[in-house]
Amino acid sequence: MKSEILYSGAFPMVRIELLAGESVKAESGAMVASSPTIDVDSKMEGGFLGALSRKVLSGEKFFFQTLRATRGPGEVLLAPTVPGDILIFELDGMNEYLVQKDGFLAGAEEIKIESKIQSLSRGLLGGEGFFILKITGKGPLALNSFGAIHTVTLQPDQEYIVDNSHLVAWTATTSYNIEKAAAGWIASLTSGEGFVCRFRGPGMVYIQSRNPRGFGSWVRQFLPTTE
Amino acid sequence: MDKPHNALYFSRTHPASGCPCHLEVLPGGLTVSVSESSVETVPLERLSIKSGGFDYDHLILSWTTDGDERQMYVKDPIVIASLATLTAPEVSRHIARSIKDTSRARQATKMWIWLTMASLMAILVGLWAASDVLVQVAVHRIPIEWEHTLGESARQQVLMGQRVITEGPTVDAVQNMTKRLAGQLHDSPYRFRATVVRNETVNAMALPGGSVIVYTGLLKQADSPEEVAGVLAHELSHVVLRHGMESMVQSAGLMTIVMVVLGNQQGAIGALERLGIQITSLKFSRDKETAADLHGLHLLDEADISPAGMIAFFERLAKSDGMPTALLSTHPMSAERAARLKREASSLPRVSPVPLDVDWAAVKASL
Repeated sequence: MKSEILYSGAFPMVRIELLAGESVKAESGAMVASSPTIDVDSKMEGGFLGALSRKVLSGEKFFFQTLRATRGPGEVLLAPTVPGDILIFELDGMNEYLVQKDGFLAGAEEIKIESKIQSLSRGLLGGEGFFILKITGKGPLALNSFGAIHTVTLQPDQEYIVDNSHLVAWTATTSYNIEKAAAGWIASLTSGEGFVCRFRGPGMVYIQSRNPRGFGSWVRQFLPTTE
Repeated sequence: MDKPHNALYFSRTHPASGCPCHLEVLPGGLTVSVSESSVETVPLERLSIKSGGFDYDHLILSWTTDGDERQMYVKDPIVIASLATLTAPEVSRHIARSIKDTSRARQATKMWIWLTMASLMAILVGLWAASDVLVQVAVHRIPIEWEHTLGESARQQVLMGQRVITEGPTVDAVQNMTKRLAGQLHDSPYRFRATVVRNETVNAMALPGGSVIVYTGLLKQADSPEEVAGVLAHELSHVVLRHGMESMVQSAGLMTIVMVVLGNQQGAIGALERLGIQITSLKFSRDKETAADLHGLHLLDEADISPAGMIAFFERLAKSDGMPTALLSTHPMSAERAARLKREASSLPRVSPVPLDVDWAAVKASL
């Protein structure tokens, strides 16, 4: 399997070349185009209950699609719904990635995707909701973001603070706490930051340069109101 | 050949995502093989151990080599077990504590899930238990005028395709009985109006707002005008007790109830009107039937009509087989219900009934 990002920037696409028999797992609805040799197969990841829990719990799609080169080699083009960057990297089989629920775009068939519940405080204040995806296994993984993706690398015990609505993914070796952005409650709320996540290394944190919720409320002011 | 990876190794000189490595636990210490050329041995006494990771299912081993802090994330159960057996008692205790922490964290998560599910269930059960009360509250918010509008649209839908009898002894008789019964309902905001339909089905119904529809099949089946009056009294009671409205609101669902309760009554009336067609097949709960029975019985009593006709008619209907009795399917007659009616009737003060002003022979002849 070979992959490359086309049109890097706001509106990228991933081109994945599959050898005969190879397959790739993708977010449902992500396929833009494919060679005629590719078959699309919809799959409930983790069985019916797993899929149901992922749909109900994390709001992720009930089905993932599997794109398989059953009738010879070919290519598929995949793209996320929102404008923003795509990041492709290899899962090493040891690192576990936690991904906010809209962040998964595609990955090797062998990778495993589960819904995870966050603790009460993280769920309420973390900005990604109570449910996130835990992605493990070995093989390439493509994440997508709203805006550009920025990678933060943390050495052991190194700390970094991220506004919670800018999180895309992080490795499980990092630990994080939710805290107020400023020392006082009033300053935290009036600064527009509210709550932030304090990450502690070692590990990687992937952040997005735009905040979907902030963009949503910016757009809302231009929408005509109905009676 | 490379040894299989079973841990993640972190140091300042390695990538921040960690290096997958092979970890071996030997009596003398840990052997960490990042690659064939890079093998590090760490004496067990230099290790500090804690639990970590998203699910608290990793052991984090830390030590310092040449002033550089190193960390190792281990999840492999075999490695964790051998660490626990080989390390000094206090370290073993630490590992045991870490394992306990992990299971406690998992239990806390599980408990949280169960608590959430239990509270959701409790809310659902609570809503279900309170649904009758909610329905009544919602129905109370519906103005009588709307009931008239709804009832009228339901009446038109019921009468669509039916042959309505507009005059003659049957119409006179049914209207006369309705008037006599309605006369007892002082202060009632409803306008009671009876319509007779030529249809062989044994049926009668009362619609919200006060419209009563009687099928000729029912009149054919009745042996006396008191029996017809009994059915009418029961049906009028459903109107007065607003059972039709309650059933409509129940079928329309909680959203309608909420809309009505919160005051968005325009939306609710549309939803209920769309459901108007179903009013003919709406079944009332046993409680509502009993309530209508008892209310009807008292209504007959107040109008000086013998309640025996009502009981006899419903009882006979229950025994008859193979007849198209729509009335029975919406008003199931049980022995219990009949007994209850008889008991209630016998408790009423005995007054001599005043015969109905109906030419029963002419009614029967016209059917």
